[in-house]
Amino acid sequence: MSSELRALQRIREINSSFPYAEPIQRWKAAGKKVIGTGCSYVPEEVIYAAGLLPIRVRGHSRESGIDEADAWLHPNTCSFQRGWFQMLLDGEYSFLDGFVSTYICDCHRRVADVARYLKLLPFVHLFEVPLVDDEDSIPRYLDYLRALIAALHTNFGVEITESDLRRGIATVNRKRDLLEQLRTLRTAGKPPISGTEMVEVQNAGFVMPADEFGDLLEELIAELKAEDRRLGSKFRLMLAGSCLNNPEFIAGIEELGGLVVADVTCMGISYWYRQVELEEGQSPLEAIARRYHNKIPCPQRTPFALRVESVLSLVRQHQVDGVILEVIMNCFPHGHTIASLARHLERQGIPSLQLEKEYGTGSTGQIRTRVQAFLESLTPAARAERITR
Amino acid sequence: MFVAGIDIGSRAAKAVVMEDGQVVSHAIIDTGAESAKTADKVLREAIRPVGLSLEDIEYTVGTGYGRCLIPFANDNISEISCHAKGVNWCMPSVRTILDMGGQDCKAIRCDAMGRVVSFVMNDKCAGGTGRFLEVIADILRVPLEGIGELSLESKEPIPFNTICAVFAKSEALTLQKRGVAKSDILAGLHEAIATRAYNLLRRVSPEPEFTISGGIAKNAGMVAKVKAKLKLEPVFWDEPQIMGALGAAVFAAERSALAASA
Repeated sequence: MSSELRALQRIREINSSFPYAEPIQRWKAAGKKVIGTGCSYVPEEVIYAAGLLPIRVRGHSRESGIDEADAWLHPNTCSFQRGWFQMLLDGEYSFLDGFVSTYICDCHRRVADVARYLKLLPFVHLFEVPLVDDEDSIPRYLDYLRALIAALHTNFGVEITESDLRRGIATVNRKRDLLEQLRTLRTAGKPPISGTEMVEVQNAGFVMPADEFGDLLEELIAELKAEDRRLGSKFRLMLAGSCLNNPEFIAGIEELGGLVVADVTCMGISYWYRQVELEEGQSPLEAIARRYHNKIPCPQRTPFALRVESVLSLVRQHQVDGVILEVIMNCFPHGHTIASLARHLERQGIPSLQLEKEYGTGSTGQIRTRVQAFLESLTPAARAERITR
Repeated sequence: MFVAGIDIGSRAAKAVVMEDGQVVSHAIIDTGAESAKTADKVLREAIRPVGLSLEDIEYTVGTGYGRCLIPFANDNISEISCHAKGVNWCMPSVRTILDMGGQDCKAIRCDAMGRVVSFVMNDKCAGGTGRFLEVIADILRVPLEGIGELSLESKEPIPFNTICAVFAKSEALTLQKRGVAKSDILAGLHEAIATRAYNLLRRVSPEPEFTISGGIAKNAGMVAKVKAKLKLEPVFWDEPQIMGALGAAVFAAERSALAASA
């Protein structure tokens, strides 16, 4: 890999102190409170508006073993939930002042229920996300947002004003805007940043205030441009799927010659895709509701056609040669849609690999064999043939 | 000019030596604890009968689980690509391959050039693979080589709803104690494994020209069951177990020619 960038060094330092990362420690030292968030659908704008720090909970970068979590969770609970829940049992998330998640799937909901039952967290709120794709969902969404505001008020004694919400929107939008700038750099013929590095960047964003992360992203983008970094590769890959944020897994793929140029995963593009667009005369809450409602390319709460459209558009923008459709075991929202997404890609002449794995596993053993075989099948000749077919 | 393909599988290691597009010799041994030693041993076994020395081998490609751990290999290529390559070399009309190995099972579809078009693999649980059959043969005290034939003698196969080695083992033991014929137990287990293989095959949309490779391809009982489910007649080459090593050797020949011309 080319020269070590200062911003990347800083990002690795921050990640090395996961989960109670150094920026969170500083935040707490100033007497302020931290809220764990469980899903891309949790409106961080509202949490920032309350003067609280939202951090995205996740598990360690390793496969979860046979541990205490099994005593409390059903065997079909996915390894992502199992992983972070075990950390909660081990006291690694004891710095959290609360947890907000969504009823995005049963695993999310039940883990939150068990945490509440065991009194592992001082405050747990499950945010509802309307399922139905119509205009009637907006007023319902507004009710759920008000319920979240009320819960934060009751538990933390905070008043959230309209100007607080506007500030919250601006804070999160800046982060999204900078991540979008980084994404655009990855559409280049020789992108300046690898998929492994990108996941490290995104991981740091989960454990620090958005303002501070934004400054770091600005520094990184400036450095990438100044250094004129260009990463070559045999193939350009997209990762699409559920929770995936262990750099080791992506490093394993990139070692085999495939550069990951886009990641449409729960913790990648799907997390920050699209801004809250506050129109004139619109209430900030409504603007938030409209961003989260049917805008995220998540298979669970977004019409499938929109997910397909987002993925195909990104495939074209990033000139992707092949897509690795990653789904963690027992992830129902992704598991049920991945075969269909593969067919949509095939129709466009884009080969894909369906990869079922546990959250946190690296590219070793059988996973490596599958990825290697997939890359071997992406020969230039085979590609040309597919395009003409 | 001699080239070699070495396939270090989970249960067996295979080597194929080729010269000018012809197979010169091959060997199959049990996989030892260390891939490097196993690779060295299996290659020596393959070259000994034809009077070659290791220095005569100009290019070696490794494949299989231990492919990255062969110090003297020039390249490593996944066993999925190698099976497709090997099959294409000896049976060019074949487009669908079912590879039934020691710890996994793969369905592969390839094109006229032997390139992989799509593939699926069982997940990391080794239930219903070669290792599973070994366990069952062991508890029923039947030689592994004989279980397939014995399963064909069954009059009333016992349905098995599991391919979990642990559950199937206790179920088979219970049945045996109750006096159920070994052939009926084996027929049921073969049926369960064949169903699983059939489901894998369906996921790659099999084409009529079809073969079975890997160690289990030598099991007549399994071949009969897969054939009946798929309603397709598989074609076979002399030694289906060395298909991965054969493909690796074909790749080795191609790559050494490419290196020589460069």
